[in-house]
Order: sequence, then C-alpha cells, then structure tokens
Amino acid sequence: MNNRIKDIVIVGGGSAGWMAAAALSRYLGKDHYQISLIESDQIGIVGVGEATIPGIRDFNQKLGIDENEFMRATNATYKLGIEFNDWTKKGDSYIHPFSYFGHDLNGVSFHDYWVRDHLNGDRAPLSAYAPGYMAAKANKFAHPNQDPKSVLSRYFYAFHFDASLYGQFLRSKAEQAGVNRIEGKVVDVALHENGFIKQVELENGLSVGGDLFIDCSGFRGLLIEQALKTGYQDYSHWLPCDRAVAVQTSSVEEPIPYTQSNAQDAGWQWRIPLQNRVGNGYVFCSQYISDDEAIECLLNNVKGDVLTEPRVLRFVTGRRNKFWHKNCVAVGLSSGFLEPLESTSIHLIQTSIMKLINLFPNQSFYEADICEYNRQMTEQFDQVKNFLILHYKTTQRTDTDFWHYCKNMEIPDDLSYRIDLFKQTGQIAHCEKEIFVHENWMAVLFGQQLMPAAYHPKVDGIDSQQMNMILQQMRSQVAQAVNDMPSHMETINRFCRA
Amino acid sequence: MNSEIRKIVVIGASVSGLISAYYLSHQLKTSGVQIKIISDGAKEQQHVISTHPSAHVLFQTLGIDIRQLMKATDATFNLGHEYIGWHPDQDKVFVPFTPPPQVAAFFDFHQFWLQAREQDPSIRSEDFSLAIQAARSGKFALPSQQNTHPLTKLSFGLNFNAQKLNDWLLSMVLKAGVQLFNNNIKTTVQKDNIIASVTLDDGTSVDGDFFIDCSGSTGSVSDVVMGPAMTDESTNFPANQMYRAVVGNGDQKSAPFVTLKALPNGWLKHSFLQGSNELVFAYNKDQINADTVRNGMQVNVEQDIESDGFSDISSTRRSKTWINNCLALGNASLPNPPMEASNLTILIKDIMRFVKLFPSHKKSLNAEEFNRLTNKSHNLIQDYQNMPLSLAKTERSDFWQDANQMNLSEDILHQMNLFKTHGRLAAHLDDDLIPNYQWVAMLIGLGVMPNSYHPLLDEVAQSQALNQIKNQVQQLLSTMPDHDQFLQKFMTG
Repeated sequence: MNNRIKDIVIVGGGSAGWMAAAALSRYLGKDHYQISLIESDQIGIVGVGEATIPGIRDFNQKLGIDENEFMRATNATYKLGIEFNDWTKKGDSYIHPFSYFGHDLNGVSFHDYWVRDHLNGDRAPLSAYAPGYMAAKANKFAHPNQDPKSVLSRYFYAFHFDASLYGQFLRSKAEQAGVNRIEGKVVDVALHENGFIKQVELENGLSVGGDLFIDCSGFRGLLIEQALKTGYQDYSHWLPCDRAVAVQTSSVEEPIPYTQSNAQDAGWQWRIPLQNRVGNGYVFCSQYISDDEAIECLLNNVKGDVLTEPRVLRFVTGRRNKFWHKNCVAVGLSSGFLEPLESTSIHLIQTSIMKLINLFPNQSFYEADICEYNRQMTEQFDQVKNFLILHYKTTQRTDTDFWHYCKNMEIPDDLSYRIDLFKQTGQIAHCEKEIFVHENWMAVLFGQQLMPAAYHPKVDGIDSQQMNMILQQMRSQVAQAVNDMPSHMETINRFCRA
Repeated sequence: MNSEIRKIVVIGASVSGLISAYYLSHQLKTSGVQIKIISDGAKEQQHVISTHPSAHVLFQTLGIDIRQLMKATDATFNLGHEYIGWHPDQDKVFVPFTPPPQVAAFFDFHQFWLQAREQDPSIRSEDFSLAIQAARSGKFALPSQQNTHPLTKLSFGLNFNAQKLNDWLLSMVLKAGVQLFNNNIKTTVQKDNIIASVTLDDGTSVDGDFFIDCSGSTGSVSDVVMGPAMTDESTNFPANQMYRAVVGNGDQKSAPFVTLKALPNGWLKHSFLQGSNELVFAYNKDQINADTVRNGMQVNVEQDIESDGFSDISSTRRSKTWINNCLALGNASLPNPPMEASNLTILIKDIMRFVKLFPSHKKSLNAEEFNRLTNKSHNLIQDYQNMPLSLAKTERSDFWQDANQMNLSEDILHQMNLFKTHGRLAAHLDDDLIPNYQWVAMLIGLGVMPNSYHPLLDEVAQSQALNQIKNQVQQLLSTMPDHDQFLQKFMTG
C-alpha cells in the first residue's frame, strides 16, 4: 500500500542538519524519497568543538562510517569521560568515566562493597576499580575489547571533534546518497489550511515545498516556533546559566583523553582537546557576571595562544513543548537547550533522528505516532535535565552568589528522591532505558561527595579478609591493564592522525 | 553488621511463602539473617502452578536441579498460551514466550509479515515460529548438539503440581535451617505501625524484625499495618469465582502449552502435568450457580473428575506493598485471575526485587523505591490481563457484556492506537514479563490490526528470508520429539 510521503526538507545545516540528512538518506531510499537540506553560508554555525558520549559510535556504525576515517576528517581525539574540577569545593576533582566500577557480586552493586570498606577505614578510591577512569588519568587510550572476562571490556569511549568538520564529513556522505543541498536563507514559512507546513520561502525567491520538515535552524526555531508557535518550557530556575563564551587555543601539550569541566565563579568552563588545538568555553549566568568579566575569566584560564575572537552566545535553557508538531520535527537547538555539561547535545540530536526513523510517518501523520515520539523525547530531555541539576545542587560551595543559589534552589521531585534514596540507603534508583544509567549516577553521586549512610546488608555475608583480597585483585587487574595501554597520542598516531 | 533486620518472619507456607523463605535464606543466611515461616493454614488453591521463563533466574541462583525438580513435581514444559475463541478474526491466538525470528536489523518480524500479507493474505505468522508449531504439534526439545540452529532456542515456563512443589520446597526450606511453625496466627502485635511479633493460636509468640505476608487472606498480618487491600471499582473485573477440576491424562498426551478458552459464561484455563491435567473455569458466581458449573464441566470432559473445588477470584490490590517492616506478596498484593501471568511469576520478581532493595532499618526509603517499581509492574500486568476481556468479541452473554465494559487504562489505549497506525509499540510498555512480541500477538489476535506496515520497510532490501524461515521451521519441527518423550528422556538425564 503506497501512502508514502515523498519530500523531506531539512532547514539548517551544522551538525543537526547534516546528521539528519546522513541518517535519513541511509534509511530512505532514493527511489521513493527526496531529501533536501537548505543552508546558508551567511548564517554562522554554532560550532564550538564538540564532546560526545559513546552512543555516537552506534550512530556512526549505523551510517556505515569508518571510525578512523571520521576521526581523521574531524581532528578528533578519544574521550574516556569528563573531569569535574572545583564543583563541590575548590580543589575537589573527579572523573565521570564511561566505565564500569568493579563488578557486581552476588547480585549486589559493587559500590556497596566499596562503601563498607570505606566506612571501615579503607582508603582505596572508587576510581581504582574503573579501567576507563584510571586510563584517563594516566593519559592512556586503547580500544576496549569484547571479552567479558577481560578488564578491557569494562569501559567505553566517545570522541572530541570539530563539529563543523563533522558536519562537512556527513555532508559528503549525504550528498553521495542523493541529498540535495540548497543554498539559501529561509525568510518565510507558508502553511496549509490544516496548519501543516506547505513550503518555505527563501531570500532569493525560491520556494521549497515538502511533506515533512526537519527544523535544524538553531535557537530561532524558524519552523517549530516562529511558524508553528509550539511554545517553550523554561528550565532556568533549575539551570540558571544563560550565556556561553567560546574561544579556540593552540595546543601546548599532547591532548588528554577526557573533557574538562572546571567550575568558576558564575558557571563552569569547558576544555575540549582536539588533535591540534583546544576548544574552550565558559558557560555562565549573566545575572551574576557580565560578558566582559566572563571573557576575562575565560582568557585567564586557558593555556596556549588564543586563535579566535571570543564569541558570546545567549540561550534559554529549556525545551519545546512538543518536539514533533504537525509535519515538523525539531532537531538540535530548535528542540531545546541543555548546557553541554555532560556532552549531551550531539546525543540528543542523534536520538531525535533515530526515534523519528523508528516512528516514521506516511501521509496520514497519525497523532498516536507523534504522541509517542514526543513522550520518548520528553523522557530523554527530562533525564538529562535532572542529571545536570544534580551537579549543581550537590555543591558545597557558597563562595559566590551563583553557587549559593545553586546549593539552595528547589529541584524536581524525582531528582530530590534519587538523592535522598542514595544518601539514606546507598541505592541508586532504577533507571528506565535512560541515557544515563546506574554507572553514570554512581560516578557523579560519589564524585560530588555524597556518601551513603548504609550499604546493602548482603555485603556483610562476605568475610572481610576475603573481600579485601577480591578488591585488591580487582585494583591490580585494572592497574595492570592500564599500565599495558599505549598513550593517548600513540593510539591517535597509529589509527587516525589528521 | 549494619542492618537491624536480623529475623524475617514469612507468613503462609504455600508455594509463595516457601519460595520466598527459601530465596531469602539462600541470599541472606551468610549475612546472619534468620528466617522463620508460619504456615497460617495456607493451602494450595490450584492443582497446577505455572512459571514464566523469567523464573529460571531464581532457580539458577538457588542452584536448583531442574530435572530433579520436574521429576518430583510431575512438571511439564510450557511454550506459551493459546487464546481460543476470544475474537472472530482469529479463532486460536498463540502468545509464545519465544521471540520471533530476526529477518533484518531494526525492523521487528511482524513488520515483514504485514508486508508479505499485502501480496498474500493467507500468510500466517505462526508458520514462522518454531515455538508455536512445536506447541500445536505436541512437541518439545531444547537446543542440543544435533540442533544448534538459533530457532531452536525456545523460551519456556514450567507447570508444576502445586502440592508436590509445596512438599519439595518445604523439605528444601527445612534443610536450609528455616524454622517452621505449623500454626495459625491469632493476633499481630505492632507499635507505631511497626510489627513486633505475631501470636499463634497455641499462644506462642513469634518475634521478628521484618514480616513478609504471603498468606493472601483478608484480615491478615499486612492488613494490620497497611489497612485492607482495596477493590479497584473502576475496572469491574467480570469474574469473581473459579472452579477447578482435575482429571487424569489417560491416553491423552500432555500438551506443552496452556489454553484459555472463551466459553458462554466465562473462560476455561487448561494446563497439563505429567499424568493429570487441570481445568479452571473463571466466572461470575452471581450469574451461574455452583451445581450448574460442576455439571457443565463433567459433561465436557471425557475422563472422571478426580478432584475439584471452588475458590474466590480476589479483586483487591495494593498500590503500596511494602510499608515499614511489612511486605505483602502474591495474593496479598494483587488479584489472581487464572490468566497468563501467574501470581507466582509476579511474586518471584517481587521477592528478587526485595532482596536487591533489602533494608538496613525497619523504616527504610528502599520501601518507596520498591513500591514505585512494583506498582508499575503490577499495573502493567493487570492492564495486559484486562485487555483481552475488554476487547473480546464472543458470546453476547451477561459475562461478556460485563467484560467488554471494562475500562482500559490510558497506557493500553495509547498502545492500541499506536499499534493501529504502523504496528509499532510504546517504548515504556516493553517489559521482560510482557515483551513487545507478546503485545503484538495479543493485539492482532484481538482484532487490532495496523493500517499498514512500517513506512520505511520497503526501503530494506528484499530477500527470500521469510520462505527460508518457514522451511527451516518445518525441517526443525520434523526432528523434534513428542513432548512426553522429551520429558521422559530429560528427567532421566
């Protein structure tokens, strides 16, 4: 039965637009579908150097992308996790790695064993049990393997890369697959009587009609908001930062295999190492410092030569009321904004696209499909939102008004419940097919210096001596494996030097 | 030792209570926790108790030798449930435990079936399931050296003789050092909603730090702390009574699956054991009287009824099953209609969840986490059980009219609407007790058909896959033994 739609129009380039184009062109054949992407060389792409999470590898694989080729093309480095500095108190530091910590034993989470040991005076840090964590600290990188008995199967990785180069890389894939790039700037949107988008009108007079529109136009939300007036939910009471200033600097050392997030007086500063330069940025709240003060702080806290003019971006943290409205799906910044504290921006783009492919419509555009899509995307956004708020709420800092606000602010009930549960019983609330699961929560809850008052009673069923031996063995296995790994730079040189 | 829970008292020495006691003992003994069990007059309500494949995890953890267990309990293998006569679109709907074969990445099997149907409406999805073909042919086998083909990885539950399972579990529980009190409970002693002890009919006081109520009866221990379980008026479940009849197998072979047959005034569940089989008729006792039911059953079975009995189908449910130091499991927590997911299956999940969330204190926030997850799980199961009753299109009797009046939850309505568009399912309703492919079988069987298959399926390279799979299924089927034959061989190792 042929009730297919035919024309897909993507408005906007950048990572969002070209990820959408590349993925859609992989699943929508040329015989039946025509995909166009409208972008303007005039409109700057946000491109601040991007960090990602391991899901990006699945996305690349689905697109048939060769990893080394992609890394070469995008100046990429490997990423084992994110280091958070000065978040709880100045001087505190921890990594949230893409890694398991130890092994669950007897159906009890590893951290319960560690807590008991810790309460008994043992000082071995939790990090010693996470191969991804220890490798990051030692500036090492080796590809993990699939052997369940090996410590090398207990961690994952993602990348740092130049987002605009990624966009270009994907563009060539997409164009090869038949995506039609149209140069132009959208100045108007025409609707059908039923409120569906009929066509977009370009500055040069051209009209582009379509059946399904993907809004990758950035914060503006040309289609989802300006045309369809979908509405936005503001999250700034929970995540008060509303500006970011970014600058690129030259490398002064070999790139490290992890992102850095360093807390500042009114926000935090990112450091994303690429192969031959570094991306830096200060995410801050304009209520507490001015743009100039932020720029000054950023420039005082970078190494190397400043290669670009610092640009200040403004944003409102939050999300669109609906991600898919009528025949328009918002992908990327048009769908909402959550600060890149846990490198989720690219992942949310990827997820928006894959869920659309999963729930792809035909001409009927059934409400049930749209409803399910919105439910799934809202869930994703909520999980990320809560996970980010966790970082701020659990600070012990009160040295500036910004941190004082964060420490005392109201937070969503679900998050408050999770924190209480962990503090009282050591349990990490069950995560439902989320983007952040047990290990992620463990890393940040402990990293932010929360210590449970109890551990699982089953832990007491194992003799202390025996437990000590098991823990020691785990630590030395991790240490040995990391010791045997080549350095991050060696691995880059071997596989994907740009 | 940081936990104040050192003594657990399990109430009810039915299979539910015994499995709970056994599992708790296995998991917590080395941590110094003592388990006691009070029989409290618990009797097996049914002849057959069924488990879901997910119960295997428990058996494995406990180191139970399945062969020994099956031998001691006249057990049979169960490949799934067949709904007979519930809807005119499909007289026999098989809902297997085994997932369908994979035709291509990304798209579910049923999408390819829907697509193929457009060319040939006679294509039946059952032809591609080895589990369904085996069940209907009375065959069963597990993957072996001869049969390593992925299609032979059948998922199965087990049907046990309830009384024999009870006896077997009792001996294991006693061997594990659990203290048994063969008495009824007279009173429960609590202070500030924390139970201190229970007093038995002979005056003995049994103290404990935590109490697990598997008794299922009203006025039980959990009522003291939690108040009575409530009937959910909004759903109006149409059946309130069960009549069970046990007959000998005679020459009849034991079927490796369970049937649920729609009859004029209720439905009939039929399960097999080695040597005997049980028929359970669910109905409304205000619509037909006991004698009519009994006579009706005798008329319809060939063999003599060896034993029979009546029991209530409870309609009460608790949204919070763990409060302070009291946990309600099994029939004490949710209704027990004779349908797919047995209360034992649910109880096994609940007790495993409890151990994972085992508290250090009599008042623990873990209770909230437990209740959150358990309530969600129970809701889903109830929704899934209500669905065929609400959507059945069979007799125009009072029973079925009542059934059709049942309200469906928002979740089920969303699931149906979503499935009707392009055969897709809601992400948040995919559960290991009710995985997506079971929803598919049920929905299609109840006349909920997608308008069309996944719009992007035509983009996937077409292959001969479906025909290949059908042939493979037939080929493998021809090598499979009889269920009874397999059972005999399996139990002798």
